[in-house]
Amino acid sequence: MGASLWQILDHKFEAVQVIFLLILIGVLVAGGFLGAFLWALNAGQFDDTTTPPIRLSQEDSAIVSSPEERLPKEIERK
Amino acid sequence: MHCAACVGFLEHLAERIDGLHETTVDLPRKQLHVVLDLSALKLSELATKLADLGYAPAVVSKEGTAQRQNMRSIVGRLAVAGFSFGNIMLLALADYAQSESFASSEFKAMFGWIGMALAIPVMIYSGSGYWHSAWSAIKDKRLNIDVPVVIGMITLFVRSATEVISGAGLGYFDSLAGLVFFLLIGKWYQNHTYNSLSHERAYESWFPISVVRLSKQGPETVRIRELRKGDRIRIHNGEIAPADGRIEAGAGVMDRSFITGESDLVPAGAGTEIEAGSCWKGAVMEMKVEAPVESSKLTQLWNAEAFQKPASKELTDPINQLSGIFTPTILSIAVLAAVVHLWLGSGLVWDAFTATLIVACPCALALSVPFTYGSAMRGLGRAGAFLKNAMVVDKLAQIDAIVFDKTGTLTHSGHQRVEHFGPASQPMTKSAQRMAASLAHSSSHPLSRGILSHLMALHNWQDQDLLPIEGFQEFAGKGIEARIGGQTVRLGHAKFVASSVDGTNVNEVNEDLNTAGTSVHLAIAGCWAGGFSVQKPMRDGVADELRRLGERYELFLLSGDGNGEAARYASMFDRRAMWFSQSPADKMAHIAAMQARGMRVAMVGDGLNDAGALKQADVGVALVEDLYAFSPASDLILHASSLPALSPMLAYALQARKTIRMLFVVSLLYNIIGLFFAVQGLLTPVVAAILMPISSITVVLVALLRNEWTSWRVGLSKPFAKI
Repeated sequence: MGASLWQILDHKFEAVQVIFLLILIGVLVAGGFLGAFLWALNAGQFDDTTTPPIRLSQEDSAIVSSPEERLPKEIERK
Repeated sequence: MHCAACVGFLEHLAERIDGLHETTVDLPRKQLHVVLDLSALKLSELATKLADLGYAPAVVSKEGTAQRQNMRSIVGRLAVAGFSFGNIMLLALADYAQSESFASSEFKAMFGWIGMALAIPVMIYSGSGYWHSAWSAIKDKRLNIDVPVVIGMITLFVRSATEVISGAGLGYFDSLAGLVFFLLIGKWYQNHTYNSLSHERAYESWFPISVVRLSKQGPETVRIRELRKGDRIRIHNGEIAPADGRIEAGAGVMDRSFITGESDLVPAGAGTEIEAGSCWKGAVMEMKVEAPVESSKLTQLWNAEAFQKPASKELTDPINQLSGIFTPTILSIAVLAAVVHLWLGSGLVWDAFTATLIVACPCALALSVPFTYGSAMRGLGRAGAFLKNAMVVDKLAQIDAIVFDKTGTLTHSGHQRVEHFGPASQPMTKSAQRMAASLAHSSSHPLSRGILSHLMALHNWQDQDLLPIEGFQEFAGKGIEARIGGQTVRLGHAKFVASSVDGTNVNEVNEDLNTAGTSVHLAIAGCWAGGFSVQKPMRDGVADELRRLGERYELFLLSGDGNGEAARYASMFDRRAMWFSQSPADKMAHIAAMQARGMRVAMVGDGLNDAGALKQADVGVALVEDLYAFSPASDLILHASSLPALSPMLAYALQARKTIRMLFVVSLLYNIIGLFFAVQGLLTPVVAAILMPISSITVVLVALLRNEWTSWRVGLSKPFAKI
């Protein structure tokens, strides 16, 4: 059955080309997510994964994932 | 700070305290980040308020930021490696299935190029640490474990690239990414282990954050960072000089153990230069600051030359020892395989040569140390023992003799039972007691402190009830002396005190006033005035522990006190293994002598006075009551309440070493299986891609599971002390 699928696809040249495109786009999208992860990492969101969940269950807690987010804008981060 | 409720409470503090704007809790690191208005609320006021609420803060090292950066870097590299590993393998699945139609399609080429593209960031970014490490090792003309890793990486890349470019196949990019991925997991775990123990935080807390500065308006307390050249500051007995300077008033002794690692007592007085980090022992001293302190200078003392054990004593990392033979062996096998194939004319020369270099990669080997010793460190940390680095586990496993200090180590440093009595069966006069207390006030020796607190409590004295003293001198191992009201007063060992008493033959002096406890004699103006008997109760559980330890190890007792308590310890130590009246230098010499006889010695002591001995020993264990104050010369910080757990800890370390041996065998087995395929030129990408993850996962699982099991088996699992 696999052989016949290929034969069908070989005839549909455009369909085969679509798969190339799909794979490339897929890798790019996945790469985008990797980039987002690396950005979040550098923003300090993964430094502490224990406290934010506790914060969520408290009342009136600001939802922050790292102490840097709580700095007033005027203060320069060291 | 230890639970969720603390988070809620602390993060709403800003509503209750003026001047406090924001508070954020970092629970795993037990840190509180605050944003406050310093003009409205001083840091010291905040600290006091927090202490009143039950959250007494301790000083946090600035190195926390570097730690975080480091961790982020490793996770970033791990993420890239994992991403590439997963995607390359996904694309390679079809190749594993060896389907005919795939092999002849256009996809094969495309997947190969995508695989290469994904592997490049792994080589350049994720693997960068290994390039640096291998290169610096080669420049030093030695081989470490990262050299075969780099050889493996290069071979993998070159071979796979040629296959993809020539259209012969997909190459081994999945194994390349997988290799880096697993190695980085090991690095991550190692970092994670080091970060979770409070070692870094602890030592800096020993150093003063504030000091009394004498300004025109009078004495004021300032942060040491605010000290300027020319400031005059006041240092009390037992405090650490926060800056380089010159003493202007006051006489006593500088203990430079923090700086040199030796218990280096230097008499000092007006005009003497004093270095930052020296501990002052004597009456109140005033000094002039000559160089303002950088807190970084003080923190460097931990890593200073003085505290590194000499290279010959460092028992080398077993992995690096192995890599000395590993790399040449692998290269020889690869060359041999190539030569054989050449001779056979099988056309597999290139295949066999590269495959051997690829499969022999020490991935499993490199993972065994961080996971075994790293998780052992965590296990010991939970039990109350904090190690300087993972290799201390290895050293602990090789110990065969243990030396104990007595005062403050085997005995409580507080809780002393003191009795006093005067000469010729008459009670000691009150004025004599007052003189003794005044003299003892300037000394930080546990015996002095015991006598002082006993007398102060007995008569309900305050500091102002004590007499002023001059010319205070402490004679290590013997006693203390000063002049009070023109009279010379001595407090200490019988012989020391007797030598100041007129008409006494020192050799006839009876050392013991009674059989229990240590005798401290008192002489005033050349007359014997009586003495004190100080009994120090042993810590709970220590007696039994010593007996248990005595079954496996040779035990020794080296004490700076007199031999008044020898009988008490006779059941736990061999009579010939106890030495008393030892000076710090004597202790060091004893340990060195034992080592010369081939023994591997661990020393358990309690601090600055034992610094030299702790450094000399193969493993220096500093026993502390308070996790925030200890000597830098130690390899291991042991919480006092965990002392009874010493034998399970040593057994645990021994098992960890056995685990490493087992894992060496396991990884060797995998290597042999792999080589079996490789030298025949039969190493297909799928075989390589399977072997590597399986061997790595096996090593990790065995290391972690075995550590958990042995921890339970030796009885370490129930924690002895709160961290």
